[in-house]
Amino acid sequence: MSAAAAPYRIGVDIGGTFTDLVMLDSRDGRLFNGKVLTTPHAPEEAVLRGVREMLDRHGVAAREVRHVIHGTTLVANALIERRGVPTGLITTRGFRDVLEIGTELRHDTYDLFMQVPEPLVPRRLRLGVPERLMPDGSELEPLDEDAAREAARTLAAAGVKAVAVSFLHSFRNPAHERRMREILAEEAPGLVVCLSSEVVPEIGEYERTSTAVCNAYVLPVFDRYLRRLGDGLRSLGLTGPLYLMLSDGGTVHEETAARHPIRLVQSGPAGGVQATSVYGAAAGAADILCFDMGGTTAKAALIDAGEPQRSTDFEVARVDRFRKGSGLPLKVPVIDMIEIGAGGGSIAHVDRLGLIRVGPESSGSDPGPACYGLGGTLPTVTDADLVLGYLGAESFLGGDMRLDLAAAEAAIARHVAEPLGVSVVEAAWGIHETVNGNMAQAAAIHALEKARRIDAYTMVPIGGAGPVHACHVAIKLGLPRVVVPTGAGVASAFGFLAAPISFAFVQGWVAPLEALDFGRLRDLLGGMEAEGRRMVAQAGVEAAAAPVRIRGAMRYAGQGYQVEADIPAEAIARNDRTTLRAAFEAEYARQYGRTEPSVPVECVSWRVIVAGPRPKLDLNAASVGAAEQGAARKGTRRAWFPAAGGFVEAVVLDRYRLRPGDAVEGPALVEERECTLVLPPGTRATCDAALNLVVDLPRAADAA
Amino acid sequence: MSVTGTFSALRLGMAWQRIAGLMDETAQTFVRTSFSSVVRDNWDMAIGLMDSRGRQFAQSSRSVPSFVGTMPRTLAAMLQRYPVERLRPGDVLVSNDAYHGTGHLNDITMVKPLFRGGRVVAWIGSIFHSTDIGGAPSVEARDSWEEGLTIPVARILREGEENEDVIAFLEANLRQPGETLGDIRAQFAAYEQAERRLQRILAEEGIEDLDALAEEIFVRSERSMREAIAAAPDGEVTDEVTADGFEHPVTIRLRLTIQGDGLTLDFTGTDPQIARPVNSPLNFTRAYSNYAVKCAFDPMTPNNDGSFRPIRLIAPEGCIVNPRRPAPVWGRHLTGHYLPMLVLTALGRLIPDRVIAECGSPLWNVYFTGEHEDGRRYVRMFFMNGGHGAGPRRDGPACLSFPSNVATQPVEQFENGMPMLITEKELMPDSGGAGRTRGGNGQRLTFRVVGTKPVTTTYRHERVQHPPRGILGGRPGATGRDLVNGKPVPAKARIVLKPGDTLTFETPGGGGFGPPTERDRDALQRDLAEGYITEAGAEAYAR
Repeated sequence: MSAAAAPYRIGVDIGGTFTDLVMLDSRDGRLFNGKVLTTPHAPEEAVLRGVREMLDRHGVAAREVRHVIHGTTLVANALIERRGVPTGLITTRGFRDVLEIGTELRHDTYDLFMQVPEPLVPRRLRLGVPERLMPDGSELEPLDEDAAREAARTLAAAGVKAVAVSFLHSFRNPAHERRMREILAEEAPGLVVCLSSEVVPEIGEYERTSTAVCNAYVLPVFDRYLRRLGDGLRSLGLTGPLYLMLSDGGTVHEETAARHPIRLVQSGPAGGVQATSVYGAAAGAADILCFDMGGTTAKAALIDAGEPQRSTDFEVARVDRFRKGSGLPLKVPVIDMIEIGAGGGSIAHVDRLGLIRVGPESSGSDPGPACYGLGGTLPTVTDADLVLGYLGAESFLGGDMRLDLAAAEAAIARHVAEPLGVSVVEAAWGIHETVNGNMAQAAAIHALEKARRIDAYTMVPIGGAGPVHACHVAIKLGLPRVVVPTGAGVASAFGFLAAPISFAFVQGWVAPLEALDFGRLRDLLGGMEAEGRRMVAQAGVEAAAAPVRIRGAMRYAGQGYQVEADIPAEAIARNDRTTLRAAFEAEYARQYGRTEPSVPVECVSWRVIVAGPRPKLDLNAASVGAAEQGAARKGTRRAWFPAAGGFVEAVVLDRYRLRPGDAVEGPALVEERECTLVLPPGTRATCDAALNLVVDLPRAADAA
Repeated sequence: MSVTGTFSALRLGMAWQRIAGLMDETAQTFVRTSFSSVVRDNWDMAIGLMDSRGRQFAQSSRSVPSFVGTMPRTLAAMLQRYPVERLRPGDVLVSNDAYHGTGHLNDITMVKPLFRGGRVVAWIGSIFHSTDIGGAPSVEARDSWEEGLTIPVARILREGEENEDVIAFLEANLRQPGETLGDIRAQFAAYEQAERRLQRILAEEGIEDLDALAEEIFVRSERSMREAIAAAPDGEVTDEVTADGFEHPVTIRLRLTIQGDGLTLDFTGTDPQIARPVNSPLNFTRAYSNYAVKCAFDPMTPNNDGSFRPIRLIAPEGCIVNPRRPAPVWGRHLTGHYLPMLVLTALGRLIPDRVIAECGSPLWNVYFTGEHEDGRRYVRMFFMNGGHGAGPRRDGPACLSFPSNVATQPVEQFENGMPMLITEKELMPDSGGAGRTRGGNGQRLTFRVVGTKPVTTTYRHERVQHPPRGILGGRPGATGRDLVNGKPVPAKARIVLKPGDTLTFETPGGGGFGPPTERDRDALQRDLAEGYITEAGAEAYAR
């Protein structure tokens, strides 16, 4: 059997604690889950072990596997933990400190001691070389080749393993950067070289340089890892290709990923978002709010008609309590996600004003929440959820970990209830509500910035803490429905299987629309498209079958922020400025509620996305397997619901025994191994054919 | 548990958080739709919310500190002209009066009354910097009339319709009316969005009485600030700082007293106002003095009037930090930016763990005016920051904006619209003051005229004669310099650059903290290896 015709597809996600695997039999849609402990020193070991166990357990031969799709936090972690290679930076002379000077803005106006990130490249490895391009890309001063050679030798002698090259205006004309790469190859062979004009050809020297440096810094580490993983998979007998999940929800062949590791910075979370898209679709929802709440943070992303919202700005490795502006800026295609420091481990306290605050400080997994009994004494969201009865002390992680209710109560009493003069359970409710409020507000602002009506979305919660908080957050947001999938714990690995082969290109080119040179634009887009088709062909997609999307970023002349809109290829073929302007203004009006008809429009950059078809992935009763036999009702537990007057006896159900058609009315608690779904009073959950629990919520007005 | 008995901690926390979020969201909308670099790149703006009595209880978190608390004072002046009973839904008031506003004409304040049930329940307002405000602002200005157009209190929107007379008046007086009016209209749209969202928040949180919510916030914020002040030792310290000034240096004197839970800042003895545009009107003086106290004592509480109730400010009329009309004030930051650093240096003697050394500011900026090759006129501003003062535990970062917190602009962005290039923007070794922790380094920037037409440049820089001071034994940072074609020129000047000319600025370094002899030797070696200091600079650390 050739790999291309083999029936099995495997998704693998490496998380902090577990490496999750999902195997799909594409003949009948059956899914198999697996979980092994992550091996941080050599992450591929866990992957290989997991794959081997998965194949053995289900009696599948290695040659029956079509491909493996993989997502990993390795890139993000290498940046956060500063575990990349010694990296040098070559800039236009006079600009070697661009990384350190940055925007000159304080990310906190009032904190005198705010922390700024240390540049990845120390100053002695940042060298300027004489050369200069004008803003239109024309050459003012040629590259000084002697100085370039000297710089290359200096960096090689200093022991760097990778070099980023970032010259001013290189996104308009990459000639000097390319020549610099040739010189580096001659003077310092073997160094990894990343050009800013290739990594992110867009205006803005700080962000472009930062992105190129981050790419160079992680590339050798990631490349080595991919080789080890690829070799290992082949030695298991898997002959199919290895695909990698990108931050924007597309997947690429390993060779493409190896050259663009920075595109994987949000790889795992992107898989989670793709998964919620499939879960939602199974329950008939296309517009989805993905709500991913873990131990440290919560993330939210919007999915419109099955397609996640995307962005091109990202920040990684924030050094100052998740504060925006305290990390390394990246210009990379990402699924647009907001992230706030609010997870199960987030610590609650009473601030100077006598108000409850939650996070962003987190107890992490060590010592963890007070109720873990591992030495933590500060109250966390998980402690509050336990005191409220939402989590069961005996049933956490399927009963493998007993939670200490008395410790949770003591922590909340000491740090929240007593300072406020309220009861412990009221304080716990305050913590729960505050963290829900934080998340609801962040999601609402995010939707507003995207000019979306949040109350038109269906929430799909994933992550260990997601289902506990989902309904209360959704009610605050005025959402009509929550869809809770089974296997939310392996959502990312599952999502990899749902992602299409896809790669996005960008090219910055600031030009007035009225004077736009369409011939040149066609050449530019054509070049990106051809490269894209080559890449998807390499990944096994028939090039002709790959649809191409063109997006133009435009703004009113004089503005500094652009709005991106889909541009029909025919309009570009016809030199049709009116359609371009109309596409921009329609998007502008949607976002800001008005247009400026008398102001000229300026084009800023062009994006081409070449994508293969989205893999067919139907969730149904067969794919998730049948429900377990036996009565679902496990008993009751006292849980706090102010809407029902305080403590009530809530029904506790075993998620694995719920069958299609079963219905549950809140207040109720539905337990599975890794999470608990809290159904507040007024909600009603129905189990659908794919074993999703579809929760209908009371309207916000009733609940407010 | 309510302080005023109206709101539980939980309800207040939720509502206030949402309202604070609304301010940030409104700021975001304004910035993203603005037409000026100074708003979108530098965030030289603020959005604020006041209760029906005009007391400010929320403000966008990235507001520049000089706009802290000026809006209620501007609103009070506006209401003198337009009493509330004359206002209708959809009205917007405008003014840029320097003495009622933020201290100079370039900052335009607008306020919109929010009606509910036929009466005003709140005011939403904003302040933004207009790069041009007409007139001929320069260091030569001897009174405020020379500094540009004063917009008296006017109704720029009447029941939602633009007041054509006001618009025409602005168009006739501004060099770049499209940019300024574009920004003004962007704010109209932002107010509407904010208004809709606020109505929804009030409904959802069940808030009938916004004033009661505001009062709860004020009372809690005031109490928090008083507790922090009370926890510091009582005492009285005096300090003074000397600014370069014009013909003569200018000295600002401060007597700072902590007594119980109150704090007094007394500027008695400060030099008199001068007939040069560096006088700091009382609103600006108060904003920056209050800012420093908040940074030191209660940085986390969101901005509102309550935090500043425990602070008493004394500044005799006629001195340079409380000038009388019509003293020129265009460059009021050249005096005002000294104030937070003066306050922090004085506080350092009472609470050394909570302060930093002086920074390489007042903010350095430069204006360029001239004609493009096609004859269109331009006015462009560029900001550049000096080194940050060292703190008790960490070195001062290089080139970081304090106290004004304005970002710089990308070089590629600047060059795109200008007949000039920036040919260097690099750190200057040894410019940060030596200390147990080192001050942040300043930077050198060079601009070159590459068009065929001359460029007029206007700038006013401080810390060229008097460097940023170190604190508690730390050494001062380096002074700044201004050069044309490599030759030093005055630090406050208007100069016409010819094609090919270069203009270089070296921003000052931040002051050091603690004795340099106590500097960790590994840190010293690292500074040498990385080129943050030179061998010569290392001598300052000799034991």
